[in-house]
Amino acid sequence: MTTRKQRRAQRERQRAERQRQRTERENTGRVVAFFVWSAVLGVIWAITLGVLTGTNLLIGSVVGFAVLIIGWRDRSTDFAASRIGIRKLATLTGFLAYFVWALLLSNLRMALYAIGPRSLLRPGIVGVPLGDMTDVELTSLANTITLTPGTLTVDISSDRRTIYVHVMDARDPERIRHEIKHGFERRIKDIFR
Amino acid sequence: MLPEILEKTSLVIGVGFCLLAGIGIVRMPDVYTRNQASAKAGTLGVAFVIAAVAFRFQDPITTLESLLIILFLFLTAPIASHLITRAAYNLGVPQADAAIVDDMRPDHTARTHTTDDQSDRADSP
Repeated sequence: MTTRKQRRAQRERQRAERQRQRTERENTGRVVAFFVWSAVLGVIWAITLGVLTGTNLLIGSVVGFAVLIIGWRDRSTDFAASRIGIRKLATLTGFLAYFVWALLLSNLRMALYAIGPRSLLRPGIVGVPLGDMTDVELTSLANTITLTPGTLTVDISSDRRTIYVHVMDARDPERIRHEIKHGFERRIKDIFR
Repeated sequence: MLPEILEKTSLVIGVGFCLLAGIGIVRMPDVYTRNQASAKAGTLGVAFVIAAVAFRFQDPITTLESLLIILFLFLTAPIASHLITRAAYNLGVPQADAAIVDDMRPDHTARTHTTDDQSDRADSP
């Protein structure tokens, strides 16, 4: 009897210890992420100034750190919380490639509308239902839509469940809904999660 | 040699897209379609011109700066055209006759009516 009780107590102690270690690791990870991110922002700052000196890198990092502290309060702007791993970088690269492709395609299509006969135009405003998205994800989605195939974000419904998109060719609203839902929404969620 | 070809090519492509944006603005029938033309072709056109600058100077700092400019361009340009479109819709600017769908109308009517009701209540003694 006693041995079983002791064993259970020991197991619980071990679990608590593991939990503590995990939290500690996560906290260390966050501190490291803060410094890595401010270093990255420092480099961007120096590039913007066009002079890559130690002083500029330092100033940029300090400013970047301040920005991270401001963003830290709100979950949706807490960039230090987002882990950057190889998998994430691959997702991001995939998204960028997809985005550039869609951008070129949309511009060629716009060229057709700009030069071609007016009868090609069948514009309209289509509502696209969305899943649960954070503010940052919604903003990215809205921006991406505006820059790609014949679509432009007009508004988001007050319950945040529908995004209204102006399209150049509204003859097939279902196809547009499908494209946004499975092309961009999924990809953007992959990046931010 | 190759950088020079890249430079000239992207310059021509960029200017071409800007020209298309201009033609689009003149030829499109309403605010929304015009905005589409300028939002996309304009942004991509300027991006190509900046890329041409990077190919011209060929030093790392200029290239990185160009990349940053393109990045910020792509982050900010859609917001401006989104706001113009939204403002136009809220002011009641109609779509062209060619338009075939408007899913936003019911939601918009619901919203404006709520505000009307509230202002009525505020005005009534």
